[in-house]
Amino acid sequence: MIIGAMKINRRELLKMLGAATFGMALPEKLLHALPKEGEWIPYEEYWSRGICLQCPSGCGLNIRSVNGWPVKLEGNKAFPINQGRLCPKGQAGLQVLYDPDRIQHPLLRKGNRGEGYWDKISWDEAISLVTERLKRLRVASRPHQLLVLGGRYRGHMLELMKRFMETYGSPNHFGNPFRGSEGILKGHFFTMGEKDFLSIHWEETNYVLSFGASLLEASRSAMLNLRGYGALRRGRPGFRGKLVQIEPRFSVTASKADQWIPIQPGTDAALALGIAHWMIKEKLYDQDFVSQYTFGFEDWKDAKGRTHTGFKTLVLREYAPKQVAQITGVPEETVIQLAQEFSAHQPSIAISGRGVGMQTNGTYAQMAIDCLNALVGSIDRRGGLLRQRKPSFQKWPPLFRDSIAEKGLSQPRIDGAGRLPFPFAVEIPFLLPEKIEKGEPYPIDTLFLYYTNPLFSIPESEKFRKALNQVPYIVSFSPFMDETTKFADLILPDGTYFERWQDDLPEPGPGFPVFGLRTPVLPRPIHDVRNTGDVLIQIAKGLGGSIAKSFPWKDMEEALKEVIKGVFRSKRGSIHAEDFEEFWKGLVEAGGWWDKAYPFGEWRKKFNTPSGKFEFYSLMMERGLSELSKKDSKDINSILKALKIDAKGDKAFLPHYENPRLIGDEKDYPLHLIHYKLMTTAEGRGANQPYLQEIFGPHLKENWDSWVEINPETAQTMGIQDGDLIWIESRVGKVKAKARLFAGTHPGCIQIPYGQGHRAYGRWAEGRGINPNDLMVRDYDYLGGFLSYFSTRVKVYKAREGVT
Amino acid sequence: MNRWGMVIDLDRCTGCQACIVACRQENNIPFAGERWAKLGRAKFWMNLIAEVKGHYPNVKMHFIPVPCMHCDRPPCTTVCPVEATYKNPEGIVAQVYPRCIGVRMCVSNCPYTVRYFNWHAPSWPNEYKRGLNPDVYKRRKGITEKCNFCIQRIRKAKEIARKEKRKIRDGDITPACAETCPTEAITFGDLNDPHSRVFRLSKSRRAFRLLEELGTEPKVYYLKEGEWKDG
Repeated sequence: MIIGAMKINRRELLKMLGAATFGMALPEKLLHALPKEGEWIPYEEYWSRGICLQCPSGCGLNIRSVNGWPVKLEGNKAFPINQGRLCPKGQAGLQVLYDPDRIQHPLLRKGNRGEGYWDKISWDEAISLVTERLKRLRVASRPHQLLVLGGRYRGHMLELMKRFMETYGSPNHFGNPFRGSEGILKGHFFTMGEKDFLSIHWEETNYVLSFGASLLEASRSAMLNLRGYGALRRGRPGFRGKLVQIEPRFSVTASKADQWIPIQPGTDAALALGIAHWMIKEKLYDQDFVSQYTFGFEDWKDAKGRTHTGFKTLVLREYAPKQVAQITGVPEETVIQLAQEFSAHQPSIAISGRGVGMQTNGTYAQMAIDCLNALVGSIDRRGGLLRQRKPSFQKWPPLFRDSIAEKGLSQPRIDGAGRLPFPFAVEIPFLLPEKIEKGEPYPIDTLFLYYTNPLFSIPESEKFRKALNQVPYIVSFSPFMDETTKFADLILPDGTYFERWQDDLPEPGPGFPVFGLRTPVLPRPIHDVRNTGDVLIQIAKGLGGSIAKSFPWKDMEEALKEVIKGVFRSKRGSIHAEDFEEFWKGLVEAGGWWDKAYPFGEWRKKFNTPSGKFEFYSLMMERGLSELSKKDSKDINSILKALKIDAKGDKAFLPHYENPRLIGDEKDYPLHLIHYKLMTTAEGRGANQPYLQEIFGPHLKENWDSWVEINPETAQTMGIQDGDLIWIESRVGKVKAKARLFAGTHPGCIQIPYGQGHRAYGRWAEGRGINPNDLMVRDYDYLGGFLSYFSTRVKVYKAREGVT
Repeated sequence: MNRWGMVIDLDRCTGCQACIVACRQENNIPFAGERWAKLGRAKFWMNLIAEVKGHYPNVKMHFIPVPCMHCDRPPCTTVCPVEATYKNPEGIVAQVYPRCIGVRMCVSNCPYTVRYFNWHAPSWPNEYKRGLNPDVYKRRKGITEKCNFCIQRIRKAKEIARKEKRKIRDGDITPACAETCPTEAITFGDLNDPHSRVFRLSKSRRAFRLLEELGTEPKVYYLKEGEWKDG
């Protein structure tokens, strides 16, 4: 692509630059100076494509480079996720690339763990250190003692790591990228058998009932939802859709909504069922959809002739608006109004955020919200919720497992996921501190960290840090010196998202299949860093035998080409090419591939559930628990008890309201801790970017710091004034921060944004503000198998000058 | 003659601040850092004003992105003793950096507080210098700077149009803030062209300008938020 002042082809420029070595050692003439007023200094410019990694949205980038260095990021106009647009995080991306505190080469620990003394070593040394260690572990028949904690995997990097773990022989892979909003997924799973997030057909939605979905701050997908909001408002001439925001916190989304409904935290299921009650009672629901595509709405008889309670019976019996008002604090007439509007303004959708799902009753709450969508038939139709379709990637050839691997894989997972009391859990990293420390069921020998930072992101991180002392060897692949990487023994630094080959599968995307491709924007990374995909392939080769055989590729680029060949062969979508080479060239040039046809109405014909239908009554859950009851010879009710579910019998398989469990009794800890993510840094990965630090909290004009939001009246009763330093204390920890009186705070809650409180992670992030995770007590939704992030009660009191 | 103007639709705006970061990256605006930011010395050619009103649960919050208004009757240019700032023929209120002597009369006379003084020399870590935009002029300590509707982009678009022997078309020029806005809230164009989008939007029934009563005749228009009507 040639747009610059001088005509120069990107490839040619890359070739020219290829002579340069790492770092600043570029040929003098290629560095650019800034002109003085009226001056013009010629430069060479080129544009290339990329994919952002500041959040999981996966937006397409159009990168402007001058004299070889990227200088500005724009959105890729053709890319369906962002269509030329970027959010503030995306715009700040170059501060990731140019971060002065990036890890510049492999490091070997010197001195004690966490002290920060390192020896620079070569890549050959670093890779052989890991390989030799992993070899020894296999020789000792202990491959299961390799633990991999992964976080922001994108595209096939997750598959690559899974493949490595399987052929190596360890069941201990924690690679679930959805940790923070798993409740939503579990709800979808029990009602629709769906394991992914659903897409929203924003273009034609008329009415959005949002149960705490953080649409305008940090949601999945942040960009699609921002764009969707714009479309809802002014996308259709003469039409303006309605957004109802239901949540205790007056968020940005609430402020931009047409109606904000404050609700008692943790009671969303009751409200959703109250709305359902009125719709059913007044026959306001889509009877065609319910009769054709759903199961368990009416009472039903099983094969043995036993009658079971249906959704309708339960909801009519227990969730009249008046009953619901008492639980939720939402007035009876509002419940009725919502029911009427929700059914009258179709296509309407009900969506949710992490504040609903990440509760001890989160799975049922999400099921209830899914049921609202079924009642208006908004599943798999225009203006409704869609199933994210995937590109037809070619599968890698089958991997090889030798007897050592087989033995390792037969070991139970260290966290006990998939067994009581977490029968449906994929993984529970939050249990790791105790498991590792006690060495139960076995000790961990080597830990890999890939794009995850548990010492920042896991509650009670101090316990985790202690547990890490029990792990003999820790290897990190992080590009940045984050809290956990600082604790490693060996660092094999990855580059940033501008410097490597990587595919990117947005989840959720726009419904139709789409994937993005990251290509290196520079001829080589700025520092002596390597794509972890390449490194993993090299380690596999070094391990030899069945493992090496399972990784036949030279590097990640080659491995990716193999999967993408499937997309080429499908002969569909945005790139048409005669041969694969041409297809690949087109893909690099376009920055991704997409196929804008979505087959409306196909998914609803066959849900991935035992009944093949949308399940008001979850046969999925019933089947899972009965299998468990056979295996452990326990009756269903005692299993329900182990899952801390109050409901008995059929009710347990229907969406219903369970009282949320809160930790810390009301007398000692009178306030409920609500934490939230800001548009600027979301969960905190953006804290090392000064542009984002400087605009951190716009609603209170806060920057470079944390604060705690308190309702002004609540504050007054405690003698706390705006700006006072206060202590916030829960059963497991206490932190000190500035109080901000914010009228948008529920009188019974305090609100703390995520993002700050780093104890490492570079000069801009370290040592400012607080991390709400330091207050959080761990409790679980046992049924869904995830952490309940919203169960902590706290007390606050003024900090006295000079007293710690 | 073009007369550049901007329309910001507050019904679409979500206060995400993408415009702010895009502006800073495009125009080589250094971050101030914690110390100076707390003193209010951070430069935001595009700024975001937030307002919170009321008591729980009757709370309101509004966000307004505020670039330079490029007034047709700018109060800032008339007070400059050295004519370092002026309204150019296309209506952009521009700053001539070499001429500025830093008296800051313009800063205090701007009712929109969108002029920024360089209290310090820009201090970038060396690594960030690679990412600077070579189309934007250097500024030194002791002078004033401000939004210029990404004048370098206007210059470039004109260049391209001239090479292609045609007039500038509506949509050819997009300032960094407008280009990135996720909800497409910002529209830029020629207010003299009755066929331009920006002209049409500026005549909307929702359109208003900030502090209109001062008679500054801003060329940045806002569209007020809408309301949902049942039915």
